[in-house]
Amino acid sequence: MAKPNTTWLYNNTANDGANTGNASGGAGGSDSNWVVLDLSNDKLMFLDSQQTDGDSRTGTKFPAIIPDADSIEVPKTFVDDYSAEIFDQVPLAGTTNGGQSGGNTRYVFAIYFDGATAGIPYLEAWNSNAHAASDDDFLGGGPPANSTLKAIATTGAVPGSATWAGTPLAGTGSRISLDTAALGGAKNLYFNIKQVIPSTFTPQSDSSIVLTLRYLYS
Amino acid sequence: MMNLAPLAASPFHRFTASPVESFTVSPSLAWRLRATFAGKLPPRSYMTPDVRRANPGWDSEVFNRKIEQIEFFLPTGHKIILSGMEAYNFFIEATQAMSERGGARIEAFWLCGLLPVRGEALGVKSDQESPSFPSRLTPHPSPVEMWRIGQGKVIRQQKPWGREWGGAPTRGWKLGQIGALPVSTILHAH
Repeated sequence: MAKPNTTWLYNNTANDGANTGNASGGAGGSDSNWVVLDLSNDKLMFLDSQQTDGDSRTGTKFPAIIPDADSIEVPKTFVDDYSAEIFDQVPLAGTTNGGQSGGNTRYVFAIYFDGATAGIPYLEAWNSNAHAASDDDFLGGGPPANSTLKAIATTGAVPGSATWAGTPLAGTGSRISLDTAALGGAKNLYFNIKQVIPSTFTPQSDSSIVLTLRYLYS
Repeated sequence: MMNLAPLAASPFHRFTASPVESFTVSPSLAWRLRATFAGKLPPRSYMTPDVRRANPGWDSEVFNRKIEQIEFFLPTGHKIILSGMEAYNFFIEATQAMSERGGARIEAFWLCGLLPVRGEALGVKSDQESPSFPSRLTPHPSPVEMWRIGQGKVIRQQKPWGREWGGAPTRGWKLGQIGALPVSTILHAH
């Protein structure tokens, strides 16, 4: 198999439909709409409910508020769309514990492979794109189980629960398989992700954590 | 003298193996994989291009004979050899991060060999023979001998068959010629 090309996309509607446009995105199933992520410039943002879809990316940002007790799922998820200069909401991200339309839904984020792989593709989170450490405070500060990022693969089916727990993301020790086997050919892989902030979380002003796709080809 | 400039530009030119006194591998062999086939009929071998820059083509090649050995040539003048294995695989581990410019990045190269059981084949099929991957004999009583070349290190390890990478099976396996003593080693290539 040749080295596959990969494209990251997100559904910016509340309609749970597949990415039928593959690498190009656009209108998908069930009136969904898929937008191609610019991996160099776009960013995934977990923000407070005061943030509104379409807000200017250079305007006010409303960070999530650390709760007094227990934990909260950060209410809203956006893509900081560099080219459109807006915060573009991802309404189906997260669960019903958040403040959007997410829940037992399947088609939220997609990674499209245009060819086969030699192994299962994984989604991971790291301190930086050096992929050398995964102990950022947002990733649990050491114990992967404490990572604030929780993801679930939905390639084959919906999560099964509107309040899915997900797998904490931190390095290779705690990551999600995006499919159940190596890819035999072109395919869309789907996942959902949320951020859960515990009351014990220390406010952070700076972080360079990244989501990383890891795969094999031959 | 070998021109070292292209190697210095490589992200994987630092190895924990001892420095070599001289480079005896042709520069054109570095970062290439060679599979040598059993028997005497031509072609005797299959050679990939420089796998840092080109698709290795390993999985898409249909070999009509069993593999006697595979060799992977390092820019340090060493080569990794696997022979006498029941099956072989080679793949590249890549990553692509959000916030990463320039697309996917190669993290490592992997050479794999399934150790035979007392010189007997146990019915493992290549992926081409068994397109309904991963329909292969699982579990296999022997482990997979694995070499990882990346991030300035060469690491040797063994993993259970069917869980060789990331706890899951890989595709691209090709049949080996068994009977000879299995070999899994790194040598200075002369």
